[in-house]
Amino acid sequence: MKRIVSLLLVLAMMLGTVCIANAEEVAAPHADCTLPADWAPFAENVTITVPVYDRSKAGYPAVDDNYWTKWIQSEFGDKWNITVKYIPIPRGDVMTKYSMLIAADETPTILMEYDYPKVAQWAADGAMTTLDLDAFKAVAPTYYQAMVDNNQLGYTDINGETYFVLSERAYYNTTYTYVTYCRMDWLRKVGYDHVPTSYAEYTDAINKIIEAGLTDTAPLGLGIPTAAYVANFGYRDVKVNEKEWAMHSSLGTPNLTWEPTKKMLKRLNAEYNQGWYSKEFDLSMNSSGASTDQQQTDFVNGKIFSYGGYMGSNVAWMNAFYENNPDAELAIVSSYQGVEEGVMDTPQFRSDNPFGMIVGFSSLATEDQLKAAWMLMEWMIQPEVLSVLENGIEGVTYTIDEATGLPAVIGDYMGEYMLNHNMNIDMTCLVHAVKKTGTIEQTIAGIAPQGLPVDFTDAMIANYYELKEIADAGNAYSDPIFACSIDSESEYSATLLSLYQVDYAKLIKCDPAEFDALYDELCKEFLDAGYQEIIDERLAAFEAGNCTKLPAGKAAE
Amino acid sequence: MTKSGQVVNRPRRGNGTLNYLRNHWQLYLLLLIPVAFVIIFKYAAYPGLRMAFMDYKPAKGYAGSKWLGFGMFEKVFKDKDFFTALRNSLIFNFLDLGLGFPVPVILAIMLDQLRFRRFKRINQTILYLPHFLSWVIIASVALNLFKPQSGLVNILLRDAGLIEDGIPFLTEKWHWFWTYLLIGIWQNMGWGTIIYLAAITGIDTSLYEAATIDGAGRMGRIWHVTLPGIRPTMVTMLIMNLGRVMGSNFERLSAFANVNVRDFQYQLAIYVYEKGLAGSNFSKATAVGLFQSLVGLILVVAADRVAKKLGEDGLL
Amino acid sequence: MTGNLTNRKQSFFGGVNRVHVSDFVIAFVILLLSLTCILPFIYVMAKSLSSNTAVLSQKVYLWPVGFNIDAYVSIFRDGKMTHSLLYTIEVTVLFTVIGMVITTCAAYPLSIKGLKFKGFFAFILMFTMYFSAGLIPEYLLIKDLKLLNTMWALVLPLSFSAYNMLIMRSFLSSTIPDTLYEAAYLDGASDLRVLTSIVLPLSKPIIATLSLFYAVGRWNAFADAKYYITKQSLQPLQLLLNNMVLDAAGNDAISIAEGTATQSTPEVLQSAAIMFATIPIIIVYPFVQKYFVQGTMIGAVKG
Repeated sequence: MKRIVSLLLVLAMMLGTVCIANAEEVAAPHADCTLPADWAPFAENVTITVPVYDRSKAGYPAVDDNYWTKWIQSEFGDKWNITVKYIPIPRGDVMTKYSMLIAADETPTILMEYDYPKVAQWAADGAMTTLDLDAFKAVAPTYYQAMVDNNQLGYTDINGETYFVLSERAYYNTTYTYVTYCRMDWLRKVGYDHVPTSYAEYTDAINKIIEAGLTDTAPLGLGIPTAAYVANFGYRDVKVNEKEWAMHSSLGTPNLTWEPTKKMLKRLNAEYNQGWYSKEFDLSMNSSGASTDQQQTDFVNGKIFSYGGYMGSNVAWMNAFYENNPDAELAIVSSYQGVEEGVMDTPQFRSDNPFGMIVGFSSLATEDQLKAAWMLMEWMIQPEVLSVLENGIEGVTYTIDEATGLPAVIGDYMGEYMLNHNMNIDMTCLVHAVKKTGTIEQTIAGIAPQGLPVDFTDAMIANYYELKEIADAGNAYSDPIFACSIDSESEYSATLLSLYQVDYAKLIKCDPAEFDALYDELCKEFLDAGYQEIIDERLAAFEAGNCTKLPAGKAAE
Repeated sequence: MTKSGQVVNRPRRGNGTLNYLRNHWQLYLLLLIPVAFVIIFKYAAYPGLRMAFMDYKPAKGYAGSKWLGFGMFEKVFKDKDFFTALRNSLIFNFLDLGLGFPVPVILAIMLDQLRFRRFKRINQTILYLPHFLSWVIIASVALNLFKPQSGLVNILLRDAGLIEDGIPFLTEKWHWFWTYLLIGIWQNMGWGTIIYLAAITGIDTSLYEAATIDGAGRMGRIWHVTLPGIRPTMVTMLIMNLGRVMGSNFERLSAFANVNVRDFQYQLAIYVYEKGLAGSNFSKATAVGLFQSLVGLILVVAADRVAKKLGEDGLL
Repeated sequence: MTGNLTNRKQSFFGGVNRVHVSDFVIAFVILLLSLTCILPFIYVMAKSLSSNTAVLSQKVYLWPVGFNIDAYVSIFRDGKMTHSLLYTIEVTVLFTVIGMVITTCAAYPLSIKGLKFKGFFAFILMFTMYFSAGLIPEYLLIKDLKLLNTMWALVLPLSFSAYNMLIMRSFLSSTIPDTLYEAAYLDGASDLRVLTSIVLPLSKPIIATLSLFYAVGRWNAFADAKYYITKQSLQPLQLLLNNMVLDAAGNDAISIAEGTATQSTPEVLQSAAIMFATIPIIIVYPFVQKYFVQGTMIGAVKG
């Protein structure tokens, strides 16, 4: 009996949910915009396929079939006799999914990714068609002009042929969306009235925190890196050797053998041996998805000094932190915290690429399909269209903030008209990487965490200007971009990441006296495992001129 | 298992295969369905194996990709990482098989012997639960239990005064070796009983009665009736599982990965992933897959021969 | 179960005439093993019913902290999961039925002693168990069969399992005595008639077991769907779940590439989704169980 009852219960709940939907009926919004005068509807219906990231987050509508895909079809597609179909791409498995589509001759009309090596691979393998930028400009003048305004024309080619157009990334040269917080209340207890602004101060503060017994565990969090990016910009020379930069600086493969990485690891090793980090730090790898990030847990429980993350209007770990530690005081960590002569002379950081998506087109696309895809991009970049796609429907998904006159999205709306992940970013990424709301101050206000006892908007703005100052001094720059594909990189990068993770733990945990010897030994192994081939190939490309340059004045003579 | 061995047949009207086929055409008609099925959905894919001998590029297809002959195999066999992975896979899988195989059999017999009916039914269901949880979830629970400093098990052992330092169940490679194997056995033990319980159900109850009359106790009945009754199933399972010693489970390995245990955790599935799939090198992945298939097949056929020599039915 | 008190007592010690010490030993061992099996489940369940804060600060072990059912409410409100549940049930039922029919068609003839060309047929069917063409060749085959992005891509390719066929064959050949066949043939019964009136009725336990194997196998599998199915409305529940839980792993790399937050699904919601996707298939089990409990009961009573 019980079984039947529980089955019925499940069924009843399911029926209930089906009936809840479709409560209100709202008029579809319109986006009136000016499009090129010579556009005409296609004589025969043209179908284009557009990739859209599937992030499988609970609580969002299907990415390939929802109110907004239908809206695009009725507002854009039907008008020009185009059928726009969306192809979900699992965000965690982009390359395999694309390879399968390509192998099955079902290459989407548009191919796009944030990483250059990936699009380079598609171009090199022949999955992408070459591009006539003049033809593109004729169909999509606004889009093209945006590329000109953002200085992106240097990134459209690979192997001497034009393949890509690029979307915009506003404020790309500061990492203002990523913020690290520390325990100001602890600092006050050990005699500081400001956050440490040099490594000497930082060391002093941490050791005093340990002495004062403010936490019963190690005072700082550390984990095994899960991405190939090595955050060693601060440890690099202010004037970088351009050749070395071209060989090592990369998001795709960790650069264990580069001098700045050694400096970074050596410092971590010293810190570890002073008891700053948990002896279990090497277990804190988020690779088994379901397990939480140990550092986050420790911070939330009030056990460690600092923790950072990307900001948004709702940051779960900050909410949890204040619930557990209502009396704590947080401050944003200074970019100068690590500065120490000889190790980190001045703060430097990795700026983002000056573009968002790198967009290319299928080699199987017909001329009409290409044109239709360009029309979609041109239409979507119109501010009127973007404003609807990113805000939705007034009174339903957003309201106009009286103070600023800007739209404020209603975060907890769930229903038919709901916007997908991050305000439909996975659709609008075709034209830009971040939603812009007026000035930088207003943009930051839009991503400052809400619902906390403290408002961090002003602190985040101050942080932005601190970063901007560093960037303006020329100390924020990005990785090289190669105008040819680096084949050995796709072959070895997965192995090298795994090796780096192992070496990272070994080098941090070892006896400081043995560090240098161990480092040399591991470097040799690392080079043999494929890194040597990668840097040789990169160097060859650099010397052949197939590589971007460092920003003016950054390269060492 | 009856060994009457007589060829079952209708009254004969002459000799020969043709007659047999005429009398039993219905059996072949039935067989046609699964055969058609495997031809359409499995054999039809085999021509695609040629990509193991090519430098296959998805955008170029089979027609446009270069032939390499045995080039990909040469590359793989020259790679010392491949042999590390192969060694680990073989060691782990043989141990998995050797240790994991008897557990469901014993558990099934215990469950069969259990006489408290309700209790038995509830426990049976509970024992299957791990089969429904993915490795990712099992690994995250295991991590919370077995961490050297903050894991629940180590905290309990330390509080009880049994140990001083935490046992590095998952962080030292030899400890990891055993923990990983035991968790695998644990995960499968309940689910593995199903097949044996079904086989036990099929045992003629009069055999038990006869054994009891002969004065056999509980152990005697198990030894002389239950075990022989499920022997064909055991042999089948054993031979089938032998073919899997070349395989390895990527999901399980990656869920239990951590930086201290790569020496053992680096198995073929990881090799194929890191050096093949992650870089979209499908030719390499297919070549390694082909090698695994061939060795697995040889093992199964050999095991089958041995089983037949020992008087068992075998698979083929 | 009747409400009568004495009856209920009987049913707990059902069919026991003499309780032996060894019975308690066995019961105790099994109880211990069961405990280890149910704990992870309770752990996930407790998390799914706790508050986000409690889970983030790892305060939840076996009992919910900050009890609430918000996570379940949002799963039921999110039509994607409920749609996928119904769809997955449909796929699983179809798959199981087709799988059982094909398996029986193979196992029954191959279990008959003296079948001509038996080795040949067995080899053809079993070869596929150890020899797979690999990811891309199989994918291209499904594409050529025009099954990509259809429900049939999930129902057909895997629905014959040589593994299950062997289990069934070994069951049939060891439990159905040859004398039964002989008698039936003497009565002039055809092979199909023997199958329907003798073999199938005697094979209930194995049919129940293998149906369960097929159903659970399909329910838990997602690797094929990951590549064969692109449309979200055709994705099975386990794929949604897997993406939700596993994709959280690569977030670091993704965040750096995108330069923005890519928050994963909160753990409470993940746990609730795990429960949502697991409980329906577990409910099936007790219905199947009675087929082999019946049989073993007879043995126990008589033993």
